[in-house]
Amino acid sequence: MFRLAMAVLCLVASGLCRAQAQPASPAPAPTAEPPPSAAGQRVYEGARHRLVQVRTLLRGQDSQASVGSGFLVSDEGHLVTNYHVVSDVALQPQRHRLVYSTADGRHGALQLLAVDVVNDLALLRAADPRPLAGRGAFEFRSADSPPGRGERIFALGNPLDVGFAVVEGAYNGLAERSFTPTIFFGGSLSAGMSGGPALDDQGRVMGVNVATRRDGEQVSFLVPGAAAQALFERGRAAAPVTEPMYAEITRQLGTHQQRLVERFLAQPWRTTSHGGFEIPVPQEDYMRCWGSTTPPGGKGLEFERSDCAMDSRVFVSHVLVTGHLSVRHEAYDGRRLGALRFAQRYSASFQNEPFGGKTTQLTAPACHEGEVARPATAGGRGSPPLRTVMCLRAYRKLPGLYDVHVLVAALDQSALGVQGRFDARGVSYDNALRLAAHYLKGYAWQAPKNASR
Amino acid sequence: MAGAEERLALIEVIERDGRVRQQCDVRRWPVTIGRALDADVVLDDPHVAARHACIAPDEVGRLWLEVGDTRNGVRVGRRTLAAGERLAIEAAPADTWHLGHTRVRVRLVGEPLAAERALVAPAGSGVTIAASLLLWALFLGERWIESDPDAGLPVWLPAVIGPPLAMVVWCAVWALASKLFQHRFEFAAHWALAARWLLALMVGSSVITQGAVALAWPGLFRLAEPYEAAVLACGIFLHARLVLASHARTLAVSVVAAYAVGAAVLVALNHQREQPWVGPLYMHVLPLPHWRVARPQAPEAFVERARSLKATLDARARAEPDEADTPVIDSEPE
Repeated sequence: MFRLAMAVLCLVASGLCRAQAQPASPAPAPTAEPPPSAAGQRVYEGARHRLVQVRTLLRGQDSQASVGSGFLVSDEGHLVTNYHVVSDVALQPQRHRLVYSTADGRHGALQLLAVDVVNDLALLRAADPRPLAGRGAFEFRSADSPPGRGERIFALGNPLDVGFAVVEGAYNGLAERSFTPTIFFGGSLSAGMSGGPALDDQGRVMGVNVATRRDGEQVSFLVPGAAAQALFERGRAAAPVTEPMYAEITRQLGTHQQRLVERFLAQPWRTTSHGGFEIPVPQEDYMRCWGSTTPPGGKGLEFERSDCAMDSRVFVSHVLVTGHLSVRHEAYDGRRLGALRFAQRYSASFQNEPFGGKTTQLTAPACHEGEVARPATAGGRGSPPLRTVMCLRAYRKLPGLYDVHVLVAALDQSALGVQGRFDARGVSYDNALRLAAHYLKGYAWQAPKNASR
Repeated sequence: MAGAEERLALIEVIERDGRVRQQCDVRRWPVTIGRALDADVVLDDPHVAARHACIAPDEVGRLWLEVGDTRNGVRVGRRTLAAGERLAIEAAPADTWHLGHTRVRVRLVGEPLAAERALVAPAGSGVTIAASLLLWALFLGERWIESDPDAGLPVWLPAVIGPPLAMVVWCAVWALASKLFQHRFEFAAHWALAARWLLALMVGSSVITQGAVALAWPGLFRLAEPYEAAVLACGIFLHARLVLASHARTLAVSVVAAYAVGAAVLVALNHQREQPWVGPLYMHVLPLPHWRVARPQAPEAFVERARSLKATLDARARAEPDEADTPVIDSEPE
């Protein structure tokens, strides 16, 4: 029923577009950049000996599973990088190990101390801090001096595993409609620079390189430095990770989903109407909605489509991206077709809805279905009858988290119809039920035209 | 003597397809069967001995099958009699004697006859014509619903010609099978069968589906697929019985067994995939507004009922996933 017509969205931690080097999949050709300014050269000179390349190797053989960048944040050898650079080690420490290499050719083993999956950050420490001693550490820019839009930012890292580099760009404020705070960096990040620092012209950390948009030019994203600083403060004394971190990741995702669900439920629906009733559409504070319609002059079923999804998603592993919501609907008009033909197409559209199957990460869906309608009461308008299918899937390795999908079709009219779908990924069971009820209650008969709204 | 001329029995040599190849009147006992020219019933099977068997009465007039000097013996039902053995005729079912590769049947005077078998309803009968026309109308109606309002001849032509053509091909294939085994090209009989079971399939399936969606009973909806499979199995059984009339029992057992095995395999596969045992994941057909009889639930009550799915999901999550069915990325298709 729904087909995304928009450009591929590649955002924070969406495993599909991480700025992480995958030698087999070269990044798009960067746009022509002017050579670094004098300030850029100065920043790079001051920073290069505190930069490292972070490599994940398969234990037993030295082939690399992924490559990213990292930077020193303490004199004891603490380093910050992206979670997605080290996710293999966080989830399968028995099969992977981490090593660093510096611009001046020093190598050593790394230990994983802590992760922040929601912000896509990880804290590492050199197993032997001596080769990194005396290099100093990056400072974080204080929250008291907020950057101005257009301020220069210098992103550092090791793009595509070809050597350390500095990329100059502009600070453009926080990315709009992002649930997780993310800095919009007007510059070109390349794969492999993930986890590198983005510095102001005094060499202070403003953010951590994290992602780029494939469909844009010079549209990249940084994790705000404050999140990295918080992770460092929290995890600097932690013991190295030796067991898979599923329990900790589950805890972090649990906190994230609770915050997301509370904020989502606190928002009233915006509504749009069709066929005499209202259809729930989410606020666009941290969701982005796209619309489409049938081309003019069609002879068959006409429809209008709205597709709202969150840009912020949480990367857990190469096969699991979660922690986001989406709301969609299609409004159908089959008056040119007649009731029987409309019914056939309306059913076919309802049939064409995937809920996923059994995978290594998620169970197959289990569904509950029936007809739902809200009776009109003194306090509120009723809703049209909705054929409703509610399917849930459980996460195998993140116990207590579920995906919920709610599919509805309005049943009251013979040539007009609305089908909607709500999806939430990585939420608790109670929240899944709350969200489903919230969504179903978003449908209502339209208020009489003369009534005030 | 007039009595000696009376027919005492009839010995029939039967082809593999059940037709009688050779008949021998028996007007006196004993009767010898074999390849020798002086046998009473002469067989041309190289796996038959010169004097393979003999049917003779004992002192009290009871008839016995006596096996002669043969290395292959005589198979009666599942039992094989070796040279020199004998068996009372009443214990030897008449139509299942095998001498070498030859089937022999002995019909005795006074045996009860099977009832006369009815002819299959001829295709020209009113019911068949009505069923065929109704089927065609259903196909055309379906096509009409699927087509856009101003669909032209290119859309309609296949719909008008296609189903009858498919039916002709289906019945012709079965009729050819009949020709092979029964030596009759029973096209009309197969058509009569096909029209009936196909109509039962389409109408029954629609009634189940529309009834289930009108009542909002997913359990009933799931029965549509097993019902269709059952009608199809019945249809194939009826066609096959027309082709192999003498093996009706074997065919019935085979079809039922195939249905049961197929169902068991599907259920097992669905269980392995964590899918519902039977039928689709959800009721994907929507009711027509005027046909709805289900009473809707309030959103809160509906959602609360989904709470019971948690135990199922948690049990599935605890089970180790099969690493073989490695999946794709669990994110939105882009």
